[in-house]
Amino acid sequence: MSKRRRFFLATTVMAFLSASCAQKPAEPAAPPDTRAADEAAIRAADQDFVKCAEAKDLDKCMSLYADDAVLLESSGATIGKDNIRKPIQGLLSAGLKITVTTTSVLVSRSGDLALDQGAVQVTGTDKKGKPQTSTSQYALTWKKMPDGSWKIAADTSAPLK
Amino acid sequence: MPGNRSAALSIVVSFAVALIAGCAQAPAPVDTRKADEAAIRAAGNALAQAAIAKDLDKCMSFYVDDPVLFIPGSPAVVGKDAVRKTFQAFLGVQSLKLETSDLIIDVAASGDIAMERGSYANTITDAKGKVTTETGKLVLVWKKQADGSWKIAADTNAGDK
Repeated sequence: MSKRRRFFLATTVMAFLSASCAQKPAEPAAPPDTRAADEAAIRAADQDFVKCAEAKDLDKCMSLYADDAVLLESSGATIGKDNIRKPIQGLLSAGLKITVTTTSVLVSRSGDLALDQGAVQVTGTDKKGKPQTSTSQYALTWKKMPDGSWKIAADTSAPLK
Repeated sequence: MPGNRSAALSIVVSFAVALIAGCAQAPAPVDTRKADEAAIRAAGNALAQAAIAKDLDKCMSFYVDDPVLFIPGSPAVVGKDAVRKTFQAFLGVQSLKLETSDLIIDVAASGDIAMERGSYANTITDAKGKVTTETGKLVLVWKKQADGSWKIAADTNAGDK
């Protein structure tokens, strides 16, 4: 092979490679980062629970849970949305004032899984009608559903001291 | 001069190789979920082994710096120092047998956060030789660290009712 011919062949190969690279379909871009919006949606959902609890709207409260949700309380574990309904009903019927203070929300980069932590303050009245407040620490694991909504997969709470 | 010609050719070939490599590198995120799930299972087993060996430092190495721990019938344990004290008490028995079953691990598509759930059975032999078995449900939230290792951000447990 002559020097010129060899050089021509090499440049042709290079040109072909450059062209094939350029002709490749657009590289899939990194998925959009939805974490800030996801965190806002979860913080809003925390407050939605407070609102539906105040309104004693059990169905609305239950709509925040995934079908296979797990409720872990210091008194014991409850598995499945149908079974969780009962303890949530108990919470609503007690007519307590509930406040939720979200302290941190950790969302996966892919926006499909999140750990939400904070405190729940529950105020009721004792037998003498005197207000009594107890504070619990909570850890909620949220999962994004195919429709884009966030549902609670695991709801853990226990009193703080 | 043959030397010059082959040098020129090798430059051309190097460019070609660089182009091929450039084409092959896709910026789309890699799905690491299978490997992540295996790594989390291995970390969970290693934590149990460290607990059985009563190696407190090793146990704590599986937790993030700001973990939360929920154990049946007890207040929430918040922060690494508090978790360490609780672990120290847990390990201060004669012997431990820790078993888990039905573990399901959901790793976020981005491979940075994972949720593990399942059942546990802890058989504890106390200082006086009395043996008790506690069964319950667990939900752990794992967070991938900068070095690629997985650590527990939330270790939540509740006893079977």
